[in-house]
Amino acid sequence: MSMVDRVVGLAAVLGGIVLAVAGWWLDLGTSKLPGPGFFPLLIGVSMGGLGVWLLLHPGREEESLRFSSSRWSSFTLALVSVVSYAALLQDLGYLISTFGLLVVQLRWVEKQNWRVVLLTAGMAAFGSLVVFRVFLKVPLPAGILPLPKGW
Amino acid sequence: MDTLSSLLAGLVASLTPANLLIVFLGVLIGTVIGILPGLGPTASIALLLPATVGMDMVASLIFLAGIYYGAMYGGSTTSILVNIPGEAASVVTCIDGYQMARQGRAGAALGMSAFGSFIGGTLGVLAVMLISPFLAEAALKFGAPEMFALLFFAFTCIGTLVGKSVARGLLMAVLGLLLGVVGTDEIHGVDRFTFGTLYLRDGIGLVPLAMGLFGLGEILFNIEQREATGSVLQVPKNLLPTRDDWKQSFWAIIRGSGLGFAIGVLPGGMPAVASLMSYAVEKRVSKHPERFGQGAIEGVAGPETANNAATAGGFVPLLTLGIPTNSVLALLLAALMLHGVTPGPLLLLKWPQVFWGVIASMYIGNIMLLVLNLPLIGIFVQLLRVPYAILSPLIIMFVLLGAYGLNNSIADVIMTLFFGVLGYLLKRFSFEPAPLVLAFVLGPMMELNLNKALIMSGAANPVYFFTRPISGVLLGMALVVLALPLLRWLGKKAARRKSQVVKR
Repeated sequence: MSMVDRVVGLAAVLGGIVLAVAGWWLDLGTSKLPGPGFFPLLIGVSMGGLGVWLLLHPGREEESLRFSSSRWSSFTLALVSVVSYAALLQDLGYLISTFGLLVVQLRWVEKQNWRVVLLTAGMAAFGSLVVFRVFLKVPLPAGILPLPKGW
Repeated sequence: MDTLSSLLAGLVASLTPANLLIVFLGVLIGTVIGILPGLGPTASIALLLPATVGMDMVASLIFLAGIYYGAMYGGSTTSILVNIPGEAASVVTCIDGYQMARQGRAGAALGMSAFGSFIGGTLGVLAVMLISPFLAEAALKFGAPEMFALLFFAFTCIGTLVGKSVARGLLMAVLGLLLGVVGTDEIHGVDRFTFGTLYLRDGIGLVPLAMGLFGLGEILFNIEQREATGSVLQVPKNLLPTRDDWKQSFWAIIRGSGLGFAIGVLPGGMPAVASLMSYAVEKRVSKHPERFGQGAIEGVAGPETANNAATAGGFVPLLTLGIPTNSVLALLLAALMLHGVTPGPLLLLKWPQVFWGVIASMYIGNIMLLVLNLPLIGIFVQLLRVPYAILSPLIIMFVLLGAYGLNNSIADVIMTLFFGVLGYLLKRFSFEPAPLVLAFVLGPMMELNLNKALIMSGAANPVYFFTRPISGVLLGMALVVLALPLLRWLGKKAARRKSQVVKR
C-alpha cells in the first residue's frame, strides 16, 4: 500500500478541516448571498473528502516517503544555493550573487572542472546583466559592486 | 465565405514582416526549448510572458503560441536521438523513435515526426477554424449557471483524466482552487489567506507558480534523479521517409489527427495524453503489435501527429469559452488578459483580429516549422551536445532572473522557490501538477459564476442548476465523469469477489 497516499490523505483531511473552519470564520453568507467563506468551505469539504478517499483506498504501489537517491547531497546543495541566492540578491547585487550561484551549481552540484565553472559562470552572469539591465532596462540590483555609468 | 474572408484578413494581419519575424522567433525558441531537456513550454512561456507586455496584442499571442507548437515539434528530436523527451508529449516517441535511431534510421524517424506534426497541426488548425465560430455563438447563450456547470465539468475532467490516480488528480485540482482564492475577494473585498502580507493581497501570480512548478521543480528533480542514458548523437541523413514508411504511417497520421484534436478540445486533454492514447490505439489496431517498441515508424508518426493536433484543438475552448485545457494555454489566457482581452464567446465579435490572427499564424507557423526542422537538424544536434550539467544551472539562473524581472521584487523570487520545492515534491511522489495550475486559473471564474448563479436562483438551491437544460446536462456529464472511477472500482471489487468464490 502506498505510504505517500496515506500521509497525503491524512494531511488533506486535516487541511480540509482547517479550511472549513476558516470558511466559517470568513463568513459563509446567507442562502441568497454567499459570503467570502462559502467557496473556501466547499474547497475544505472536497479536500477532506478526497483525503478520506486516499486514506481508505491508497494506491497499491509500495511507495516510500524516504529519499534514497545517491544524489541527495547534490540536491540539498542546489536547494540551499537557490534559497541563499534569494536571500542575498538584493544586498550583494545581481552580478555577484548570480556568479556565486552558478559557481556553486557548476562546481559542487554538477562536478565540473574549475575552468568550465569560472568561464561559464562569469560569462553567464555578466552577459545576462548586460542584456537585461543595460539593453532591456530591467532594474536588476547593483548591490555592493559599483557599475559603470548608464548601466 | 465569411470564415474564408476572416481568415484572409487574419493572414493579411499576420503576414506583416514584423509578425512573420515574431512567428519565426516563436517557433525557433519553441523548437530549441523542446529540444533542450529541463525547460518545458510551460516554464518557458511563463518566463517570456512579462517580455510580451510591451508587444502588440496579436504579436504577443502569436509569439507565445509559436513557442508552444514549436516545443511540440522540437520535443521529438531529443526523444529520437538521445532517448530523453524534450517535453512530456514526446515521452512515447522515445519508445520506437530511439529504437529506429539505434538501427540507423534516425533520419526517417525525424522526417516522419516532422511531416506527421505538420499534417496533424494543419488539420487541427483547420478544425479550430471551422468549429470555433459555431461554439462561440452557442456559448453566447450561456448565463452564470451554465458557465459554472461548464467550469465544473472542466474541473472534473482535469482532475480525473490527468495523472495515474483519480483521487490524486482531483486533490491537485482542489489544491489549485485553494491557491486561487488567496488574495482579496473581488466580490466582498475581504482578504482571504493572505496572512497579513501585502504581497498576497493581489493573489498568487500564475507566472511564479508555473515557473516554480514546471521550471525549478523539474530541475531540482533532475538533480536528484539524474541517470546516465545512452545516445545516438550523429547528424542523421536521409530525412525524407521512404514510400514504405509513408504506407505504414498514413493511417496512423490520419487517426492521430482526429484523436489528437478530440482530446485537445477536452479539458485536461493535454498533448501528452493525446500522444499516449495514439500510441495505444496504433499498437491495438496494428497487425504486428510485436513491432512496437522495436522501432515501428507508426509508433512515431501517430503520437507526434496527435500531440500537434491536440495543441491546435486546445485553442477551441480557450478562444471560444475562455477555458484553458492545459497549463500552457492557462498562460496564454493570462497573456490575453494582460492585454485587456477577455477570451470567451465575445472574443470573435470584439477582437476578431486576435482570433483570426492566431489562426493564420498557426498555419504559417506549421509551414515554418516544417521548413525549419528538416534543414536545421544538424544545428539542433549540435545543441544537444551541450552537457545537461552546464544547461541545468543556466536554466535555474534564467528562472530566477525571470521571477525577479516580473515586478522587480524578491517576493516573486521567493514565491517561485516555494513552488519550485512544491513542484519537486509533486514530481518526486508522482503527483501531476497540471490539474493544480488549471484549477488555479479556473477557480476564481468558478466562484464568481457560482455566486452569481446562487443569487439568480434566489436561494442556495443546487436543484436550480438542473432546472436549466444546458447547465443540467453539463452537471450530469460532470457527475458521470466523477462516478466512472467509483463504478470501475466497484466492478473490480465484484470481479475479485467472484474469482474468490470460484476458487473456493
